[in-house]
Amino acid sequence: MSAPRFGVTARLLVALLCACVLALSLGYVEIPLADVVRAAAGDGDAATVAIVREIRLPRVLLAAAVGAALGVSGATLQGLLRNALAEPGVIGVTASGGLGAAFALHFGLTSASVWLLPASAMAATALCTLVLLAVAARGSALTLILAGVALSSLATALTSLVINLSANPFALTELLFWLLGSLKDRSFDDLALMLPFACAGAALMLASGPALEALALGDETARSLGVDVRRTQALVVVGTALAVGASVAVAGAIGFVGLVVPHLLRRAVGHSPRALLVPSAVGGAVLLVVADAGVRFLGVNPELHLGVVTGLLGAPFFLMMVLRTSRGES
Amino acid sequence: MTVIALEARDITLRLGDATVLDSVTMEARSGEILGIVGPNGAGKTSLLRVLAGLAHSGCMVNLGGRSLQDHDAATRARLIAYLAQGHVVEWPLAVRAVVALGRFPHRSGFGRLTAVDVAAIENAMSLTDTARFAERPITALSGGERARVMLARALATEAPVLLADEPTASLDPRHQLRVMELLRSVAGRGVAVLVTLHDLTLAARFSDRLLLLDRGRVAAAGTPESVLTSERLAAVYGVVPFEREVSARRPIVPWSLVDPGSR
Repeated sequence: MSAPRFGVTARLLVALLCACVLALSLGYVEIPLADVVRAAAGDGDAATVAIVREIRLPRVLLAAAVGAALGVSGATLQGLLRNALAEPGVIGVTASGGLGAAFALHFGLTSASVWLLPASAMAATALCTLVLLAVAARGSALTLILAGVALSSLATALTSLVINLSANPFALTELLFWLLGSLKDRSFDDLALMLPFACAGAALMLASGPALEALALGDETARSLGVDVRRTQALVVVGTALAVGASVAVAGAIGFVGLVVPHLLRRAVGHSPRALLVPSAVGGAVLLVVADAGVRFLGVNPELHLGVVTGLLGAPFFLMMVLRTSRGES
Repeated sequence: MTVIALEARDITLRLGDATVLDSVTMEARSGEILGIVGPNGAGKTSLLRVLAGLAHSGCMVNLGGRSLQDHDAATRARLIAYLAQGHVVEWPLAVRAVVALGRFPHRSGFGRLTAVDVAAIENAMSLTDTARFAERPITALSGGERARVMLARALATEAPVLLADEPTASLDPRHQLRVMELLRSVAGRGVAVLVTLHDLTLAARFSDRLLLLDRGRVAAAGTPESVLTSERLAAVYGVVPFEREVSARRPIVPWSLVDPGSR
């Protein structure tokens, strides 16, 4: 039963490795593939090593980490809400993170310390999570979705308010670019900041896996099987908030990864919510590393923001899924 | 000797202002089918939910000599299998994966299935004749096949008590009989089977004992013949049965309304 899942994960890991090597070789300076691999290991001339290890490697690793966090978050949320159209953005975490970042940029907190930008984004996601937890403690999955939609709208409105009130053109530009979502010019500091939170979040989400499988039979039956539904909701909400919050903090709003990846993987690993978790993490990493490499490969000037590209590809995909779902139900 | 597997005294359940169950006292014995009957809203499902530990009434439900509340969730789930109404499956999971969920209360660590689990799953599927479509997605099955898969899921737990909430609802006569015969054979293996039913003919025929509920209270309990008298059917359901002896038995067939127009 679990054989296809491991096979798919193994193939995705190979794909991830290839994607990373490919992404390392793409950039403004042309470096042959063999030199890239050697430079990544710290071997070769100083300039090449610096370009590969200081500029490209953090960006590629960050793309993989953010992609994995978003992919597993999407699969987990879909399992909890039992809806293949659920997306991390649905519960308002992405929008709240954006609001936190907007707040920090607007009030110039970033000039006090660069750490205050991600800290503010995470604080906002945490606040959003606490509200969602309170809702989850008394409501159904549908209530949770609707509360998330409301929170998302509120966060977007408040972000618009911040933009509206922004008198400083420099802060405004910085803010708008942040909200578009990008992995450009990121360092190992960003990776070190997001990785602990993303890992903690992923661990919580993986722990909820067996319960997500039982939830496929409905809340009542899951409870009769010994599942603590409230605990599962808490695990998933905190897990996704940590992972998505950390991702938004370092990369801005990058949408639809959590929607597209689990959907594509269902063909290969089946519909089991539990079996989808690990492949969705690896698949998300592959997707974002490839997408980010694609953005650089296109060479459009100014460089396309990753969030713009995932949005342009993801939104029609989302619409197609909605149409297919409604046709399937009618 | 029959063993009392599950007993409850004075179950009272209030939802908001409504009293859904009012001092219900009952017992279920190992190896027996206890049919729970009553009109819509009589409290049949609520009773099963209380017995399964899904609704808390504050009363004592005794399970194998211990209070239900003293068991943790996993232990309770190993002792009581609950087959909910409606047969919900939210994803197109493979039949085998659905049946395997019946082993959820037994899982340990990372949830790998042990040889005992696999044997229980195979056994449940062969009992319900569902092994043929073990690899098919549950969404591709007919209503009758799906009902049997859900029953297999409940049987895979191998609990000494099985609560089944209207397992024959929306099934054709053949599948209704098939499910009831399955429950009969499950009881024959020493399981205490509690089943809510709307079909009084089936309930009277397959149950060892009946519990008749009316607006949250026990209207009668005992053998089907003693519970489903014409007077009670008139008082509780407002129907008159068609009475005729068939092969020395008297099947209950609701036939007409006591007072056409009032209900």
